Amino acid sequence: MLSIASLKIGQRAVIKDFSVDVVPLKLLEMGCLPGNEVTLIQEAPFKDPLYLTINGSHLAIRKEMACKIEIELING
Amino acid sequence: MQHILVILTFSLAAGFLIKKFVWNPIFEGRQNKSTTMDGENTKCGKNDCACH
Amino acid sequence: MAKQINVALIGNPNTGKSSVFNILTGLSQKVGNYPGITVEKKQGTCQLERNLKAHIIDLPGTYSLNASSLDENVVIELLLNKKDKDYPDVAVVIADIENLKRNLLLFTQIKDLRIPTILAINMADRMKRKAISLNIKELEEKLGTKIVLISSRKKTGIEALKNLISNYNSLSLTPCINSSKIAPEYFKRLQKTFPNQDLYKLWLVVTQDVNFGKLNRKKINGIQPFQTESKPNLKRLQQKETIARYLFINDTLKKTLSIDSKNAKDLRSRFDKVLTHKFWGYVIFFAVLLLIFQAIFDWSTYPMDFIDNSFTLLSEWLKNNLPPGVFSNLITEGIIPGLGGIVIFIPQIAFLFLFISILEESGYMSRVVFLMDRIMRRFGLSGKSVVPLVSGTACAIPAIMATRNIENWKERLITILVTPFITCAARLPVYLIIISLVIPEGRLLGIISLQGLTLLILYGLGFAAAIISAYILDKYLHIKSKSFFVVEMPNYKLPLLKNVGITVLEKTKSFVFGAGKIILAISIILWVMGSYGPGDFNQAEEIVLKQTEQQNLSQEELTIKLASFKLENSYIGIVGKFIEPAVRPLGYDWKIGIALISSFAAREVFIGTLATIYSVGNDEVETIKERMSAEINPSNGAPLFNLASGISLLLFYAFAMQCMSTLAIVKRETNSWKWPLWQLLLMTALAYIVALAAYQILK
Repeated sequence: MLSIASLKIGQRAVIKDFSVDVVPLKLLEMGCLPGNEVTLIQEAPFKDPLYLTINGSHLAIRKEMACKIEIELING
Repeated sequence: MQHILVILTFSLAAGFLIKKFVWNPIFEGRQNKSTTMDGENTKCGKNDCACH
Repeated sequence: MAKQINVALIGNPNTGKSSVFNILTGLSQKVGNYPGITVEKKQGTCQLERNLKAHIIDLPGTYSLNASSLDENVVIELLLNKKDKDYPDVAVVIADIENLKRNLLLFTQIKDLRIPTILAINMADRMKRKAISLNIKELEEKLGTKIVLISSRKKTGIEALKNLISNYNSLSLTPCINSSKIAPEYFKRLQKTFPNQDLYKLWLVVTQDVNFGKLNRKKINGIQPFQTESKPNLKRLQQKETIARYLFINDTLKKTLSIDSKNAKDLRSRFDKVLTHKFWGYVIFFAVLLLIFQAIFDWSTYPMDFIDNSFTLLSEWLKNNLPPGVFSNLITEGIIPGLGGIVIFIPQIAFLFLFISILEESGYMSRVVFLMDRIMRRFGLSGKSVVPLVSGTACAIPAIMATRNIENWKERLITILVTPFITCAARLPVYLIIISLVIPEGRLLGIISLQGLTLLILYGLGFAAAIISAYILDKYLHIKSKSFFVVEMPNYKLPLLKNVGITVLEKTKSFVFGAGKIILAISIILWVMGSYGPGDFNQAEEIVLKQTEQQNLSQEELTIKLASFKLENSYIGIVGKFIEPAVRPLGYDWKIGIALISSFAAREVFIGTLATIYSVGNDEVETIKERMSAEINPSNGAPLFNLASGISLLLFYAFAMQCMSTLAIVKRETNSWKWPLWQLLLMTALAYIVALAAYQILK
């Protein structure tokens, strides 16, 4: 499964549907919703945490959370 | 005279410390139960209430 | 007749909400606590018009009314409780022009509670640089509110905001979203059961069970058991609600907000490339730390010397001008030095918080959290533990209070428990005097002074002890806790002096008043215990004269002997002699034993106590050091302060939990006596064992 954790720096992707129990409400409220765009800005050593833009918001989340969110790459 | 002042000051200091370290914890413990976020008596840290 | 209305300032973190609050309320603000919980309550007043005053409450920053932490819960608690005396007549939502989309989520939620709501879009001064343009009239229509563009930096729009607040009655109360559309069946049932209640409000109360803990049900009158949905279903509905809100917001902004990304200037990415770099990021961070510590040490010597001299002068002046007697002595020998001991740390603490506050205001701290999180987690801590650990080098009290933003309870608890190991400012005077007494003055390899090296090692020990005990606690404490970590990376901005100033003031006050009262009280008690005694104490003169009949001592020597005898037979001397067997294996005598006990007030009291013990009755200005080096260990006739006992003492101070004030704060922040007591027990036991081993090995 291609997840946020698989992104390379600068890559853009779209978030795919995910089940309710996987992602905490707070992250949803910060913009992590299916259909929204996510870009990887920077990764810390061991890819943990990841610094992303999600739906225009700049934030960082841990790898264990990033792994759970499936994405689809935007090409071009 | 001066001795009296000293004893007074001493009692104030001791009283303050006793109040802070002995009395308040007992008193606050009781008060907390009624205003706690979780009416069901979850002492913070004991379960997943994230109340801190 | 002046009327007063309640205004609530609400908004996401990092929107400059505090700046707006500061501008509106100025010095009228007071900071307290919400009853029973450890969340800060900030309120103040603002004169809106001639006969209208606003009581403004600055609510904790939150991203939504669905609370995921204690301080976020404070927000929803207030907004659901019309009976609360702070319940707002009007809510001002502070948004940030660059994050408008996300900020509006909270806005629509509040509006749906039918509270008159104003939207204040802050950082409007950045609109040009970011090529953002907004159709305010249309946005006002779509959202059903009044909007004002403000800049807390340039101080624009504030009067317009005040105007809007004064005219709050003209604000529309129509909700943005029709909440029942999320699950029509469910909401119909909800409304039927509680026909008098507002629908969205009901929804929030029900979902609080899902988010958090059961709210005090009395908030909504007469709630009977309601056939609610299962938890997973409710969560699904919450998700649907969030999606619905964002659909509304996206739709609204599409027509009213435009960004010309080609012309937008982006400083953030350029800074981030370097500051979060896998290698340079860390180099820069450590360089920043080094700079800060260097500056603090350099800058604080001047004010500290000034304070030291002032208090000495004060003490002398009082001694000469107060009527002689025991109470006057209490003042000049107990209270004044006690106060001095507190005041002298203010420069160091203030400077440290000055730097930390600047780093936080600028936005850099979030990047530090990002860099350090992974490493910290290996030890059971969080990236957000960095600020408390660094703050601990000044004083553990504000450091422990700074752990409040750590979401994960276990990580927060561990941070609180290990922070006292960090070498705080109070340990320094003890370290310095012992080091200068027992460590030789040479240089290692001709470069590093041995004394300086010892100090560095002690700092390292403190930090290592913190990290290692965190690791152990992580393995052995079995505490379930939600582990959701998110840190927003705000835009870089120049710190506002006013905000920094107010923060420094608050943190310093917490030290002075939190620790100050306890230190003063203990100083008084210790002094009294050292100046009164049973039995022999009261016949001191006779006894000493008799003892030294044959010796033909000078007046000075007699005075010293008398003072010494009195001390030994005072209440505190009795306590000291009582514990002497316990401390002798560590290389100390009963006098040092007394000093150790008195350090429970504050570590630096050690010096003052020794000064009292060794120079009591001595008019000559003999330095404490000289007296200390002259002390003889009665059991072997050798100097009491030698390398072995010195190092033993240093190690004891490094590891012992002596500061009563810290224990009080730990108790408050963890809401139980269990943790501080364990801290006291384990840390002191560790200190004892290490000091014992050190002395026995080195002697």
